[in-house]
Amino acid sequence: MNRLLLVSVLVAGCGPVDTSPTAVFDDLWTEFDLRYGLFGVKDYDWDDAYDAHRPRVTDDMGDDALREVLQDLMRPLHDDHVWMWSGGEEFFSAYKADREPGEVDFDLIRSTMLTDPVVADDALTWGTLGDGVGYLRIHHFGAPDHRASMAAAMTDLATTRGLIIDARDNPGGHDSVAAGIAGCFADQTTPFMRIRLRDGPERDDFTDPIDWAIEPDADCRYDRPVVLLTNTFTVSAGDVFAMGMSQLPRVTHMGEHTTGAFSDTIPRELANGWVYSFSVGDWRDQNDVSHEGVGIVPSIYVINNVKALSEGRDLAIERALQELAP
Amino acid sequence: MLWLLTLASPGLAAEVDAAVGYHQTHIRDEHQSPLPYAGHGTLLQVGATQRWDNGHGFARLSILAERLDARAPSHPLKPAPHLGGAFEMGAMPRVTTVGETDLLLGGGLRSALDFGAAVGLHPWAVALNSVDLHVATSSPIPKGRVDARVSLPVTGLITRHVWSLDPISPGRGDLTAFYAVGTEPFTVATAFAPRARIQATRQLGDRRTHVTAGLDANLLLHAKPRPVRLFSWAASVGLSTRLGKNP
Repeated sequence: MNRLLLVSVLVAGCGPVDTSPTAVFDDLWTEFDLRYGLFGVKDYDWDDAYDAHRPRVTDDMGDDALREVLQDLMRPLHDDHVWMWSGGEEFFSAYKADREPGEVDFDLIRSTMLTDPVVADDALTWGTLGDGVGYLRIHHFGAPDHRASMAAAMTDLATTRGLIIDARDNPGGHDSVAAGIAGCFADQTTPFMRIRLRDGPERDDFTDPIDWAIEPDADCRYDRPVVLLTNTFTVSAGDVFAMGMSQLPRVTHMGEHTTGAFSDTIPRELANGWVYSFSVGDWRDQNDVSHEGVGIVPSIYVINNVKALSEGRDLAIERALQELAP
Repeated sequence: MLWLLTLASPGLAAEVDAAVGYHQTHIRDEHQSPLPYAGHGTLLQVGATQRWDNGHGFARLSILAERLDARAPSHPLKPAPHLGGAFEMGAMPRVTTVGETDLLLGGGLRSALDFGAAVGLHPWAVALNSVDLHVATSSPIPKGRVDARVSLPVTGLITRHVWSLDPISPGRGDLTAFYAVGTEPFTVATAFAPRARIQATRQLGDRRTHVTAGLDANLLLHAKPRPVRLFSWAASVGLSTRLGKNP
């Protein structure tokens, strides 16, 4: 059996893997070079980055030193989808890396503000606030079978005179789910996004543009005013959701700007067992404008703060209720 | 299919066999990962062979289930499932007979899909729909025979993950998009995927029933979008029986 295994390994070219620091650095740099989708948007010269950091790598360096070099290489991208796990340590290249979620207290909202809250599939929470205003929290966009839950939510909230959609701290999921939920609030087909994916080794090798539009969904239609709440932890498909919702005339976007990491991301691995991820495309709005690193900016800026939370208040929801007041 | 034809045609007779075996896969797909992946598991095969005076026809369905794991010094993920399925059928007229050994040459069709839940932290798949060339021998042994066949896909369609590893497009599920976006024609010059199979059969108590022992080997070398090398082999045992006329 061992001989057969050896033959198999040799035939398939699955011999020993080079796990040296230089091989690991070169592999990560090459993977970005071949597939990263935002060099043009980020205006980061990847060749210069190689020249700057590759000489720092030697095969006798330890994991800590190699980790530092790789992080220095990726940090200027300031891309929330550029992430590395290296032996238990996480790294994000985004600007907000030193800030943690937590400036929203969803338990507080559910327990003290909502009447008859309903939680569906750990993805949606809905109920009513005072003055007949509905509240819908979208925890994430990772539930592909969202349509039934959205239809149930909109049925329950059918008699409300306005709706607050809370997408704060939303970590993303599937763009198709984000666009599908936005369809509940659209009166007509609404173009909102144009994407291109890397499809070749040159840094300007991209697919033809793929245009996305929000399609009205009659099964969950809601036809009254809507306030969308976001914050800087609304990311990825959350960014995409905000980009789409901001195109809809009955929606007022409020809160903080979103993270600004729109692209799909792919996980990759290195020969030493570390893993990382990066953006593989260039996601823009329907006018071909990139919001990467900036996010979708709300029309009304409201920042929650810890002091208000300690007093049992949510400043963003208070401002949204003002907006929806009769 | 041949089996059904045989039942419907009293003048024909076919051998139907079923086998279970041990399967091993080795993958080095630079498009997905710098790491090699390997796994082992179970192979099930069901086949039918029609023997005419001047040749053979065959159909065979193979299904495998195993778990693939990265060959890495440290890796945060556990082994993930690898599923494979292939259906092939072909006809091989006898070209000549040397001693008691028939030499056959023919062609056929094959459709195969390999799916790994996580190769390089990402779903991995290779699909091959091909027109195959077959070269085979068939030799009698006491109370049985040994059949050997080498098959080479000459042309067809190969599907691999797209460059970005992200086949999304509006209105399509991932699998549909995978086939729609990642498929392109190939020839033997661009995708080298030979297979070899040897099977020995030996008669049990009656003339209808045989025990079988088989060895299969598969290789795939393909360069686009980036090189993949896949090698798998299997050893199997089973039973075959003859249906229809002339037991």
